[in-house]
Amino acid sequence: MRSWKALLAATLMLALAACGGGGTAEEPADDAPAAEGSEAAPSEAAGGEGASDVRAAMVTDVGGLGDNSFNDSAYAGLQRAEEELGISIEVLESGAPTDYVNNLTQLAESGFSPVFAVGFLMTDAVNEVAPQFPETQFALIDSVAEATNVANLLFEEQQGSYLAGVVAGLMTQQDTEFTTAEAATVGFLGGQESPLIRKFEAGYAAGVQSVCPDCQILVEYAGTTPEAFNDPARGQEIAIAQNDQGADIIYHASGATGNGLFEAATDRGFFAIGVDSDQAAIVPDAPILTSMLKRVDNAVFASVEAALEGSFPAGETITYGLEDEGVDLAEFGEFSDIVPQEVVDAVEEARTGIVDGTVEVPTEPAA
Amino acid sequence: MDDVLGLGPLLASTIRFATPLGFAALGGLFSERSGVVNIALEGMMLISAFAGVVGSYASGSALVGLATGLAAGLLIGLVHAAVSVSLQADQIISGTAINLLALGGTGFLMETVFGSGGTSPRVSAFDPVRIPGLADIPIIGEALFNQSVLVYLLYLLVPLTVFVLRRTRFGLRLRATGEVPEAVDTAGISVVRMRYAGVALSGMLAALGGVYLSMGVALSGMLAALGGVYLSMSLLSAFTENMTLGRGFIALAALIFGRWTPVGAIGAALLFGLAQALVVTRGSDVPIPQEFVAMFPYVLTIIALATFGGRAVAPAASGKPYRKE
Repeated sequence: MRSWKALLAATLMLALAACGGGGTAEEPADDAPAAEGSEAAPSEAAGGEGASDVRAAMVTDVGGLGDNSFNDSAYAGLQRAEEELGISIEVLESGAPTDYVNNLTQLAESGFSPVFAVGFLMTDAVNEVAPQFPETQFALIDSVAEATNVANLLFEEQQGSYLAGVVAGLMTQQDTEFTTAEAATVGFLGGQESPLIRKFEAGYAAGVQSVCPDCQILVEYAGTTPEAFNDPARGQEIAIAQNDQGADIIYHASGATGNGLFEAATDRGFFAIGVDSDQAAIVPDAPILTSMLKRVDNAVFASVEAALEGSFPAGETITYGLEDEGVDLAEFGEFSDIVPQEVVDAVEEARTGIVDGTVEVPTEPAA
Repeated sequence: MDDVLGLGPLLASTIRFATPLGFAALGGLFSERSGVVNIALEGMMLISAFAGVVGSYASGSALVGLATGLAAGLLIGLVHAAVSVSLQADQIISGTAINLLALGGTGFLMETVFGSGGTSPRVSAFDPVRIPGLADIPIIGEALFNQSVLVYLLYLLVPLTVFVLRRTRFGLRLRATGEVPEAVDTAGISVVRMRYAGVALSGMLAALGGVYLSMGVALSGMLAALGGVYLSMSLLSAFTENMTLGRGFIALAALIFGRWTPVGAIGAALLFGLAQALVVTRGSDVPIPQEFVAMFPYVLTIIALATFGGRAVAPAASGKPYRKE
């Protein structure tokens, strides 16, 4: 009798847990009706025959929607495609790395195409799933997969980071409410140590050095696993430690870990530089000087558009840089009064140099 | 006296890393000493971290957040007790289920409560409180005594736990329940009631660790040392999905490494915190591989377990459901 009850209790707990776990993979409630709506009444903007047949979908990496970062950016691109091109969209969130294959498979089986895999963490999953669905178009962001039905969308993060470095290197030499001229130290907070995030570091360091050869650049990564993108407490400690060592501007490429940087910057009054989206708009109470923009949304939108026109770049690798506004630097916003004109000019000069090729930006940090 | 070695910031960072571990390790202590293995510390922390933020969000008050966080910890503790004590299910399975439920459940509730996953809106959190006098001690003063009130609570809880376990009737009964429940039963004391109390306390202590993570990570005013001006403003914090990232398991490791004693567990938590703080504050001078630091608590725990030399230091009845003859 006792053991029967025990078994029942344990089973119930596990069942309950399984329900909870499934929750993270559900779509946000509000886009179900929107998707149906656009199927029922294809928008005029779609303009062509068969446009309404396109159903695009994306799978987030473990950062998930609400990361204020590139998952949100990719979703924004999809939403724009839904509004302007009249397609239906779907998004599946991944609670754990083990969800990647399931989510991609589920979307491909349901007939979605193109299916966007957002983030280099999903490379293996795409390599596994894409060959099983040769009719489905996949797009992998930030990495390169082998299958011929995958479009690989890369970004020149080092170029945008270089501009962020120029700003940091010049501003740390200024006396402002947030920076002191004598410190001349800047920081970099990385998420998972990986070739992708090292591109951010390399460009940033090169940018700082181009305008401030004597500046000290403190570099710290939050970890070596994907969890390093999701640890604000650790991000905060790293930011505090760098600030203790004199860094008064810290640039991050660390997903949700960067929220810890913003808290430290708010509390202690130093500048943070955001990443991927214009984070000053998302976290308005933090002193975010600017953000390195990675326009995943534009890349996603362009790919959907290409799919509609029948020119989806399957099997190709497309790299978005400063030239085509795939990466950029956000406006200074509320701090535009503090930033001197010479900084704005230096950024423009660097931008021109990178675009015309006279400035070469490294993709690996100097040893 | 100048802090030329930067010991103050290192100590402050150590304490901030160690505090959530310390709360959860003390939580694990009460549960295991009553005879219930609590692998659910991780989930209890995560759920409480979330419940605290929701409470603070709804009310605008960090204290209300603390109350809702504690209530959530208590509730999950009671669930764990109901399943593993009353229904005598396997304690590890119950704990694992709670951990899975916490991860998926908080992710799901983020959507329900805040409309999007990822990171919650910012809520009121605990400001650091500087204790005059004590905080003026050179080098270590600022680090120890310009912290969140939750840190001070932990300072108080350690001697209190020692006292309760050693000197009070409740503590003695609790320990006896974890060692020889038959004797406790024979003495006419309810084993079930004692274990419920142990696991419920465990849930609330783990909750403090979770609430500290999501809304108590206070900064001390060490900018003064840099010649800057410290602006006292309300700290803002948020909940991030899965923000505990295994800290509950590290707390469990601290409890084992500390040989199921309050002082030992806190010592281990501080040691693990120091390892983290060293990487963060000295990573550039002393390159310690992050992987090493990540495995450090577990390796130490395995070594400690191996060198206990067969002597049973774990509560003898821990993990075994008590069946009345």
